[in-house]
Amino acid sequence: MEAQILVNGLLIGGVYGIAALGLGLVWGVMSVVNVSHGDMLIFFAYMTWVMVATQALNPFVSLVLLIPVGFLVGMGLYRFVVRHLVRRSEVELMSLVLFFGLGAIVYGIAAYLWGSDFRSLPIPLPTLRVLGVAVPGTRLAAFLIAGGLVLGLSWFFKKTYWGKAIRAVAQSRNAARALGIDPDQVSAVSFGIALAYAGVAGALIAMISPLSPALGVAYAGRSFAVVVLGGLGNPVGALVAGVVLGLAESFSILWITFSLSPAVAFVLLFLVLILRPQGLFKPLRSR
Amino acid sequence: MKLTRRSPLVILFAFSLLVAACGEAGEQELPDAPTTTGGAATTEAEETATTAEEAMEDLPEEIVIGIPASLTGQYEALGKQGLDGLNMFADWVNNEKGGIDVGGTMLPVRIVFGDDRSDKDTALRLFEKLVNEDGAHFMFASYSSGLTLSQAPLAEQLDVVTMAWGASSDDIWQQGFTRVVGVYTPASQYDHTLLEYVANADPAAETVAIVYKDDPFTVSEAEGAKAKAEELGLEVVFFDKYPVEATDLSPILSQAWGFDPDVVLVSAHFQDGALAAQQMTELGITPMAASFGSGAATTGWWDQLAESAQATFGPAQWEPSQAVDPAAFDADNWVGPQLTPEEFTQQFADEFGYEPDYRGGLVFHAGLALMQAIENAGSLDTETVIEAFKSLDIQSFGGGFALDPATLNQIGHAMVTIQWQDGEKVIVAPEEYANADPIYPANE
Repeated sequence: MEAQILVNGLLIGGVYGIAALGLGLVWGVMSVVNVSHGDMLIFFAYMTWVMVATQALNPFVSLVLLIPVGFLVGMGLYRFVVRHLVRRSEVELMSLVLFFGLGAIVYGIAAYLWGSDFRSLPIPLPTLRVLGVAVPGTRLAAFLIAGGLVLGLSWFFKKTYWGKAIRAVAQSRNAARALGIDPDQVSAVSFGIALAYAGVAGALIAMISPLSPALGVAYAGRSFAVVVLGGLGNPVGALVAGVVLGLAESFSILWITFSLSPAVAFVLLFLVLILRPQGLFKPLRSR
Repeated sequence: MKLTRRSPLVILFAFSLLVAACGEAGEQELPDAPTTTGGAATTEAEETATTAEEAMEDLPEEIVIGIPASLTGQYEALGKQGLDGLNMFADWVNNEKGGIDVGGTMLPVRIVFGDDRSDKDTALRLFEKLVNEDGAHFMFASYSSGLTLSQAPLAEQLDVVTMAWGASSDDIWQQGFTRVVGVYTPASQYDHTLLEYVANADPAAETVAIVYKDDPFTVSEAEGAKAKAEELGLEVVFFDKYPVEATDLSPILSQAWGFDPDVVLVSAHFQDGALAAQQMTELGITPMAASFGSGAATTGWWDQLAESAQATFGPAQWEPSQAVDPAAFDADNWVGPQLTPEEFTQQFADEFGYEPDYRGGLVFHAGLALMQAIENAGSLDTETVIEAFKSLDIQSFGGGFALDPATLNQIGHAMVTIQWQDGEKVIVAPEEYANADPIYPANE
């Protein structure tokens, strides 16, 4: 039983990790607190559902399609909305209020378009049995995709010009500008990457969970916990923190009661804020 | 106003705040004056008679029935089905029966309604408005156990007979309310039929795991199932709940399966029931019988789950394919149109363009029970009608109707157990309603 619960928590944790990545990235790079992140995840999840249910696309193909869609939406959102905020000294407070409203709009559109009834996709992959433990194929694939993309982003930050530029802007916009980096352009790319990852995460959520517009709240709460636990904008930190959260939620059934599993994320959040406010891993903006 | 490059930001921000403000249920305005259907085209509210004597002497020109219908929000489809079914009942009373006989006077029925938005605050204000301002003599509560429970104290205060046509949580009838009439079989009895079948058909079945959602309706269902299982000699090896917000049930399902139960009962609504069924397939959890609450009896269950729905069981209040012995039409206690559930379903579909499930069938059935109680009382007086309800024992295409006189909870209506077999929903128990043999054990 414990082995099965371990596998369940591990696999769902990968999805929690990638779901939180976009939130941590824009927070870490430009101090923008996107509280609509959960609603955006679920909107992308619905887009996957639409592509699969109405166009008969394979969900993994829809996942690939959502990467450029998310990137362009993110770039556009930065250019037309966020850019005006990041120059202000009170950017975190302003972004919090703005994205709270944007979240209400995204939620309202999702509820209008798809109603409050739950929608779900058929299970695309069969279940494997390993040493008597069921390993759902779709969840395993979601975990591997999430892990691969998170590690890929970590490599991107360390080894590419754009990755280094993003880290430079996260540390200091002025210093980056002095080095000839355009902070606006880098921030736009960061926002694009953040929503591209949100697109992938949305597709993975659609594959493993029934959808309703209200689901965004649950993922927003988990994402905040993961971001704080893993260090702002640190991809590997997000993945590890996601797995820690997934395991903690799963094992709550043995340690306490499953009824309290939604509170686990917030207990972790409080503990980290009190004991290690910088998170378990180095934030993106650290040197 | 001069537009600057920051104008879109300002506009979006203002719009965001506006949308957020509109989301506050407490600030919602009630809909405009309620729409009315059926009966005479009267616009003036009728005064409710306060005693049987007054009612006899001063009958209104029509009987006004109010319903706060969930026409938007989470219960949108179900609330609309209730309103359509109630309108169909009013049309039948007015056009085919010629009205309700109140002490020898035939009175037409008029329905008044508004949109409760599936929201408790709106539903409460609308309930009061329909009674006090629009003159409803009788009320049908909002859909769902939660909204009905919130309206029950108001029904007491306003002294109005209220038909709980969309609620089955036992809580409602355990609090001493005297004006709320049960229509559905209580939630605590939902799984009795399946457990009785398993206990009788399979002596090898010994253990049951019960997994349930932590809300009043599903808690009632689970506790009732636990008590019944123990009464039947089945051992309940696992009994635990999951939170309403849960998006992943695999931990609790894995833990339940660790006890190797013969039967798994998931007390759930449609969404979480479907999630449980899907995750049980993924995790290879294959008991001899698995039931997933009332959601499994909903038409969309197979569409949502496809093969994961194969051989799943579910309790249903009423099914269109439910058999009715034509001889029952001639029984003394038969009330209403002489239709089989299948014929009623066809008429409903012809009129409204979609097939009803039990909500549509049983709201009409509730209307028939109210009609008969009024006719037996010969009065519109609340206390007199409630007394008539206590001795009512009728049947219609919706099944039986009789109340526990002490609580007004439903005791005369039987549940059926359905099972999905290759995309078809069939009734497998109890025997008198069954139209197919169950696939049992379901894991072979």
